[in-house]
Amino acid sequence: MTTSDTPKTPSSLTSPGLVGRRSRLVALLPAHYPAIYQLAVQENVAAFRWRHRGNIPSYEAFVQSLYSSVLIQFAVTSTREQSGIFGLVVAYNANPIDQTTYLAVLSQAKYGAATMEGVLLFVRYILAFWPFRKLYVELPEYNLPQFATAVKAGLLVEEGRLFENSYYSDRYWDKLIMSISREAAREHLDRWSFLLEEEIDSSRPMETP
Amino acid sequence: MSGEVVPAVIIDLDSFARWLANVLGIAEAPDPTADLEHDLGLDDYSMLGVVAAFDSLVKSWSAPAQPEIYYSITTVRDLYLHYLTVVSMPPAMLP
Repeated sequence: MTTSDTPKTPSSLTSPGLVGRRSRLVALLPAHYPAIYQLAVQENVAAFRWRHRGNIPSYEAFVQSLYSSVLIQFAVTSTREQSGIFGLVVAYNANPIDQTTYLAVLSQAKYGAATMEGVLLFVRYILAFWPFRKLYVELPEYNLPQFATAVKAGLLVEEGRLFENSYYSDRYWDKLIMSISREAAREHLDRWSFLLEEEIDSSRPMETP
Repeated sequence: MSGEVVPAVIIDLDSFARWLANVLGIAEAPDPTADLEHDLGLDDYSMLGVVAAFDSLVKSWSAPAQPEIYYSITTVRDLYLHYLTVVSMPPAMLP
């Protein structure tokens, strides 16, 4: 029996936590919008990797679209307060009947690994608050190499493929529907649990009751 | 021996490269100039494994986790320099 299988009692319930060892999730606020917009229109993301694929929306249209079909989203930041935004994690197109939702991630290539810690925090959060069976991830075929290890490790599983769906650079690419099952997510969250624990800063003064 | 204080040993670059080879499951220690992404094939998810192993390696120093390991490291040498930075920090006070 793994830790996640252990029956919970009211006294053993804990919050899933939004803070890892190096990355944290914070509620998206208007103050974050300019940085998120900059992320979405950076050259290689705007060109082909993010949903706009070549289009650069106006700032106002972008902000309005931020909440379209969104269930929950967070900015991913460093655990250091003065650092900027690593990325954005979004759950969208939730289907309460089928108990599925889609997951999207936006980050600069430089902050990909830092955002990945945030993605795991986000998956843990989603699975704690909603009884989803599967989290779907839509990928253009050319983005797949970025997730090769997650596929090899069994976290991401291909469930569907729209052949020659997405046009970019003189050809049509397949669109892949990948999934993260609740079971696979639990296994991987257990594996990385050490990275998903907030570091106790013992230099801070202790709170007194 | 119970109660004996075992000093934490700082490893040199060659030993660090062999440690990294072991973490990555590759036979030969990578060259210090090897690029983690392009030469060793690390992607965002596999970098988590390296960071988790790194945290175990430096656990004895009780240094605070440095977010820079995710975005300031390109080569094996960069990772080693980060290691030296971490093990040179004053240890965090234990609760």
